Parts: sequence; structure tokens; C-alpha cells
Amino acid sequence: MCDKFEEIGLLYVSGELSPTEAREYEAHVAECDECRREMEAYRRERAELYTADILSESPGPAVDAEILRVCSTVRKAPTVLTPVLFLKKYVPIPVFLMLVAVAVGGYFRYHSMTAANLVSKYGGEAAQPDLPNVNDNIQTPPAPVNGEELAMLDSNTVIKDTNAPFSKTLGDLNREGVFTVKGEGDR
Amino acid sequence: MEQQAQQLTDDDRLFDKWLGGDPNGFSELYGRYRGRVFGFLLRMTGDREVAEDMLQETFLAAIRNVGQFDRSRSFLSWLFGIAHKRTIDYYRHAKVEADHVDDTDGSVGSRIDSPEDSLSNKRLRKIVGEAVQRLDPSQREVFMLRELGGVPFKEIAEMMGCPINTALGRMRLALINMRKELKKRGIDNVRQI
Ligand SMILES: [Zn+2]
Repeated sequence: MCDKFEEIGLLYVSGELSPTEAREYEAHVAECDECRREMEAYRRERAELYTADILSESPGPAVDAEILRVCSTVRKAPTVLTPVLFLKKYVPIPVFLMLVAVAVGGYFRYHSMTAANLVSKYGGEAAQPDLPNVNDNIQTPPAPVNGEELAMLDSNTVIKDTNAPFSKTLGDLNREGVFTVKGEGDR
Repeated sequence: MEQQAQQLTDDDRLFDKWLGGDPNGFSELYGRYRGRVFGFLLRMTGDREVAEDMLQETFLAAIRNVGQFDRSRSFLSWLFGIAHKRTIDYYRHAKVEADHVDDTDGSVGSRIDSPEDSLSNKRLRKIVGEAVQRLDPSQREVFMLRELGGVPFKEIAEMMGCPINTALGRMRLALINMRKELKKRGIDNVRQI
């Protein structure tokens, strides 16, 4: 009696084993009749009986229409274009990165100059060592742009704040009684 | 496997379209997955009206929480995660008896999508639907999440708050019981259809 199908075979069929684990199980199946029978039966069942075609169900047409109607209402939500999003959308990436670098550099230069002025005006050397090094800051890669945002920019995707307009519109619709969203305590 | 990978890329494309403000992205994703999500909800609740409400709630929650979608997961798994939460709330609030299924004789009913569906397909859907309905709820849950939602066992265990071996054990029992129920209805070893 072999219980490896339940332990590993299901994960194997599901594609959740590492390549090494998968090879080990294949080697086991080649020698274990029980696992081989189980796997063949399961694969047949998945191919012929447990398909999306057979297990799916259709909601009533009114439900489809209602969900899509709500969706199309959401589409009409105005896109909020903040200055940063505007830059991301219309300014090429290298220029955008340069602007970020200049902005960061400018920020620290301004502050160091202000601090230097204060030092020269009021004296005192203690403040000097704490001043940020302007060059270091310009060379630091701009942190605010993460990998995901870059990937989205690469694919020319229109970027906007997706949460705000959606939730705002849904909230508005809810208040207007256009549709009802049942909350946790409704039932 | 290749087809699955293609599907994932396609989902990503539609998802980007949707995020980019094109509502066709949403309606295409909806059209692609509404039947699966609804099949899950219907089998889990046994009530068409309740399942229809939950379908709407699921997709609205998806719209509301679209920013939380983790790109390393499949869109369908994420959607099933949301739908699964709805069924948990349903069981919790409605205090549905675990054995409510015994009263049904597949009366949940199947609606065939198009008239061209062959008779044998219609019969198969009915028989498989009845067999699924006879499963113990926790086995049905794992079975439907895995077979209809394509949710990996690792994620199923997280959703159900149990060790992965428990999820695997329930799946194994579901498969054994499905075979028994299908055999009673004339389907043996997947050949005599
Ligand atoms: Zn074995």
C-alpha cells in the first residue's frame, strides 16, 4: 500500500513540485503500479469530467447584465491625474529619471545652502558635519520608481490611481441606490 | 502547460487593459471566468439566488481591491480567493447546516450555456454536478478550488487555514468519493459515457 499519490502525486499533477522533486516522483511512478494507476485515472478524469466546460455554471442573464452595467458605470469615473502621474504618463522614462534626480539633488542643495548660510551667519562648527553630501545624493538611484511601475511604463500602459476613482464611484452608486453591495453584517 | 501559460499572459494583458481604464478589459475577464466562479459558488451554497448575489459581490470586491492583486499569482486564483471568502461568510452568517446537501438530489440544476451543447455533455454536466453535490463540504471546497479555480494546493491550504497535507487528504477523499458517486450513476473508470 503506497500513499505517495496523496502526498506527492497530487502536487505533481498540480505542477507544484520543484524540478528535482518532480523527477524523483516520476522515477517512483515508473516502479509503483499503484501510483501509476492513480495518476492515469486522475488525469483521465480531469481531461474528460473535471473540465471547466462541465463544472462551470451560468448565472441568469439579468445578473450578467447587472454586473456589466455596474462595470460600465465605473468606466465613466474621471481619471485623477496628479502632477506625478502626469509626468509618468507623458514624459519618457530617461527624462523622468533625470527630473527625479535633479529634484532630489536640488532639494539637498537648497537645504545645504540654507544650512551653510545659517552657519556662516550664526557661526558654530558643530552643525557642519551633519550636512548631507550633495554629490552622494545626486548619484543615488531614485528610489520612488520601483520595478513594477517601470514595467507598466514599458508596456505603455496608461497609469492612474485605480483605487480612488473606482471606490469613489462605487460609493456614489451605493448611496444613490443604483446597486446594493451587501456588507459583512447583512446576513 | 503551454496553454496555461498562454492563458496567464492573456489574463495579464486584459488586466493591464482594465487597469489602464479600458472597461473591455474587465468585461473580457468577466466573460472568461464568470462561469467558473459561479459554478464554484453554486456548488458551495446549493442556492442559485444566493450564488448570483455572491457572484456580483465577488466581482465588485475584485474591482474595489484591484490594487491588491499580486501579479505573481494567477488572476483566477485571486478571484477564487475572493469568492471563497464570500462562501465562508455565508456559512458563518447563515449558519448553514453542514449536511444540507443530503436534501438535494442534484436539484441545484444546471443551465446549459448554448443550445448546441450536445446531449451527452448535458447529461455529463448533470451527473458530475450531482456527484459534486454529494461530497462532504470540506472535500467539495478543495475539489472545486483545485479543479475549477486551478488554485494550487499551497494556496488552498492558506485559504482554508489548514496544513497542506490536510488539503491534500481532502482532495484524495473527494476523488475517491467522486468515483463512487459517478459509478452509481453509470460512469465507471471514465470510459462508459
Ligand atoms: Zn507509489
